[in-house]
Amino acid sequence: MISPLTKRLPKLIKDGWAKYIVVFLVMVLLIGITSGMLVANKSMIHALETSVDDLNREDGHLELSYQASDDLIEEMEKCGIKLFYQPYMEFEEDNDLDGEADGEVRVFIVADSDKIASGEEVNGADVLKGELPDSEGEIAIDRMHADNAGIKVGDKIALGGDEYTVTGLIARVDYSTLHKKSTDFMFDALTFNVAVVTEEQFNSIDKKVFYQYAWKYNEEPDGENAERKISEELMADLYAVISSHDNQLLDFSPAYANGAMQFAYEDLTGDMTMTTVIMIIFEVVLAFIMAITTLNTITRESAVIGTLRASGYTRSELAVHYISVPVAVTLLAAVFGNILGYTFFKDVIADLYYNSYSLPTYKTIWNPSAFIQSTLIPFVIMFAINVIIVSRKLRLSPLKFLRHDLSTSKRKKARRLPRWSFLNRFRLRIIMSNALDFVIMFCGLFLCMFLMFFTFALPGTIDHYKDTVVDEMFADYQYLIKSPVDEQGQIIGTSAAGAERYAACNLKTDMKYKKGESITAYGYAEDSTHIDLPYDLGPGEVYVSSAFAGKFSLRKGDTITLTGEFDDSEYEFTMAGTFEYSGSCSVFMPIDRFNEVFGYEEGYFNGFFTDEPIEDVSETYIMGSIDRDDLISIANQLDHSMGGMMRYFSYACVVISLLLMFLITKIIIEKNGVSISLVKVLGYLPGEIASLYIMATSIVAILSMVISLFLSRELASILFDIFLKEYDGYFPMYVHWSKYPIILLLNIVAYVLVATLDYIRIRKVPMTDALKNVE
Amino acid sequence: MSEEERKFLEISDVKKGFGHGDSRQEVLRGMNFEVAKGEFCVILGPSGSGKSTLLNIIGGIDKADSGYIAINGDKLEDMNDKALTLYRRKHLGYVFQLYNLIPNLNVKENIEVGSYLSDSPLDIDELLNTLGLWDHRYKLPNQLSGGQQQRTSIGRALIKNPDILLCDEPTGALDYNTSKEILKLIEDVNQKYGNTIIMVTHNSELQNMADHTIKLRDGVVRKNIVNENKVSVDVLEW
Repeated sequence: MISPLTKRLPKLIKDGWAKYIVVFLVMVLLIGITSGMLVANKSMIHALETSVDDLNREDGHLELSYQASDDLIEEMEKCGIKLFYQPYMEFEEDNDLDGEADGEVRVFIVADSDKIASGEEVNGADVLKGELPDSEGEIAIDRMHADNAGIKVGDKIALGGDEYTVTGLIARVDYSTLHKKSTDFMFDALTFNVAVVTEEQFNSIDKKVFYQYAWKYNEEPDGENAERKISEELMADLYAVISSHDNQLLDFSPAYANGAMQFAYEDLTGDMTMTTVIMIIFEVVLAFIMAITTLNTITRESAVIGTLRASGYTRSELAVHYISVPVAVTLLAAVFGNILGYTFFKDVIADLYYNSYSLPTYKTIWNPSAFIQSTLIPFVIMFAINVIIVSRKLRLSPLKFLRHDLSTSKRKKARRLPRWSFLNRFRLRIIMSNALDFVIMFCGLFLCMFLMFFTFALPGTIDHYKDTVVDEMFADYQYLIKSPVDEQGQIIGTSAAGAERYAACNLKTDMKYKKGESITAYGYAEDSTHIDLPYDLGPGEVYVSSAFAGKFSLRKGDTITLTGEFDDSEYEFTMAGTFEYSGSCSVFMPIDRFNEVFGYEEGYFNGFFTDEPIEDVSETYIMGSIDRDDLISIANQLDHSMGGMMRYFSYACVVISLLLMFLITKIIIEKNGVSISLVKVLGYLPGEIASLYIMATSIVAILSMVISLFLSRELASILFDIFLKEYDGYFPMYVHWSKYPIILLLNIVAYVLVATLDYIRIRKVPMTDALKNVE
Repeated sequence: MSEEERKFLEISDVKKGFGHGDSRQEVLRGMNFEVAKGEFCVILGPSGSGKSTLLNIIGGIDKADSGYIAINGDKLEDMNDKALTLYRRKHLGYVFQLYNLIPNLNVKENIEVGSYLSDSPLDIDELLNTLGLWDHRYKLPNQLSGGQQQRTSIGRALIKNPDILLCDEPTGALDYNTSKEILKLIEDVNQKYGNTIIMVTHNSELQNMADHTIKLRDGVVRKNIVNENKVSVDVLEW
């Protein structure tokens, strides 16, 4: 026989259908996105991890000034590694053959797939479309960059004036994101490209070669900590060996610290954690909303419950009855959410990542942990919160239920309120008696506004960084040269406009906040027109870039401890002041002091600031250059990766806040239904009732929004700094003041919509509700 | 007493039914009577006789299917929703069987709910004393006894000094002694403030304290009695 309680379930559903549908839809969306993300991310992570072995990814690489001699290679390999020569050249890339450079391409020699499989070569590439080049004039380029630049298989592109046919679109295993430098905190798939050509083609090009050597450890380190330790020792050993061979170590990049290899993996993992955490928080909010809805039903049906309890129904039978609908809604949402996640959201999310990263082809992997995280966790949260709250309420005696006395408060008197007007006291009483509902509304609103704040803050910060970094450039062009003299021993000079010598070297921090952060030390000329700083600094004093000062919270007079980039020589400076420069974490000192501190001869320099491109210095002597486009390329990439998504995300946040406010205010109005009905009977006009109930809700909603906005700012700023701590460089989060009213306004518009619905709802409350008790 | 005062409340051929088709039930089947200004009128009848339905129509909460109710010559059927609300606001006070206090407001604030509606409310502190609620004024309804709650409910209705006080079984949920206390209070109010009181009850003994008794059965007025020898509730027993 079907239990009479089971027969009552349709009534429970009918009474709260609007709330159940809203909760169901939000949950389907949450579970769908979470399950889609978990499946897609885990599948992509699996593809990444598999490709590391299948395509024999390097354990790290180093770069030398000159090609290593056999002796040097032999000695370097004695340090416990096997080396693989991975030379590359860099070209300007012309995508549309209009003679104008559209970006920059780093060209390697294509690896032989058999040799990759046998371990004779490293850093293979997954071919996503077309094929690898096998003759002259052919090239395979990175798939992500090709998508961004609109290049297809069969198209022609020009590198340094020579045309090549694109035979394939690839994802090199050592470039899952297109990081130009392994320490860059962001990749650049818009203007930076990685490509492979045949060995014959490579050798036929007369162009400066970058002497990069990849290594594999003879004995695989056991875990990242061991790898970190081994690589530090390796760097010191290699530095000593290389220096003794009249060569120079220009770059040392173990795989674990290489953004091009780690960024995608860390982002995929981090996003999964973040999505799961956000889902859990929302689930908790939804579970509380459901529990409050159930408590309202219990209050409304207190006589029924009292009668049932008096007739012999147990508390647990009633608890199961009342939580069965929330739990059923969750289960149903989990089923639909998972179907949507596995079919629709998985592809949407994978597309998002493939729109930013150079990932290898992935196959969907069905994993049980995704099911647990997206289905079991919401179910457990909903079940646990509802069981605890509902069971607690049902502990009251049957008599109390029969008497409609469900208060658990032991207070003898109501809280005294200030001598405000009656209406204001009434509103305050409404707020106080619905405090739990408002706390849940605040939590939900805070979460939505915090996410929304990020969607406004990130693009704003990127734009601000772009503007600032360009404004603060030392010069329109900045060149780094190998040495101050050419092969004939003549000092290198240039007639480029505004040319001014400077010296620079890379150091690392040895400070409490972060060790190993890359710092550039600059030596500037006396009366420099590009770095406007005093020349006569006190002993040990340096100026610090605003980025460095901001990231490490440095103040004037602070001690700055730095070490050599590849050795353990230590330098201590005192901060003399801040120099407004956001481009990198740097210290500035007069060039004479620079040469003295770092042991260079008097008159040493290794770079030029100029107002126009240098054309009278051979490319062989130039190690690198930076112009405006280089500085803003990272910002452009961030814009490209996140711009569109952020906009949609902020709309989604507004919709979720709207639904949350709808649910909570609906619950509050239902809870106060009899009182509203009563004041109607007594002669209160709809406007007056709205001014009591809607005004009370409005005060809390608007206050919650304002508080959430400022809390979001503080929290986002802290999280942003934590995020940047992992990477080299720094720029503070920047939100223009005009964004605050926009964020508020969007939420207020959502609230006005909710309040309008509430007003209609209040008008519809029948006066007979107040009279029901009488009959 | 003028004709106008004698016909202060006029109920004329009021009919009201609920439901449709076979399940339709006629609750009021053409009801006629008048209540004079300042009169204490008891509407008496068994369950299902249409007492509460009639009170709801007088209170402007429900509408008659036909016939009319006029207060001071103003017909309720001619009033729109807003006018009806203003009618309740300006002229009526309501006392319910189960008090219907607002649970999150204390005693004083519950009474203020009524005073807010009046342009010239009575003095609240004096009323609290009169009602014997001064010491309980900061308590919430769930901290009060049934009698105290009903006194609060009466206070909420009285504070705006309404022309008509509608009482729907005001002692229905109270014990004998408390019931007498509450009825005494209503009686005193009638005498002190001169409000017209219409009290619905099924306790026939209470007709003795009324100026005017309307006996209902099956939706019609069976008896319309003017009591020339009314007595105080103090002497009544039931």
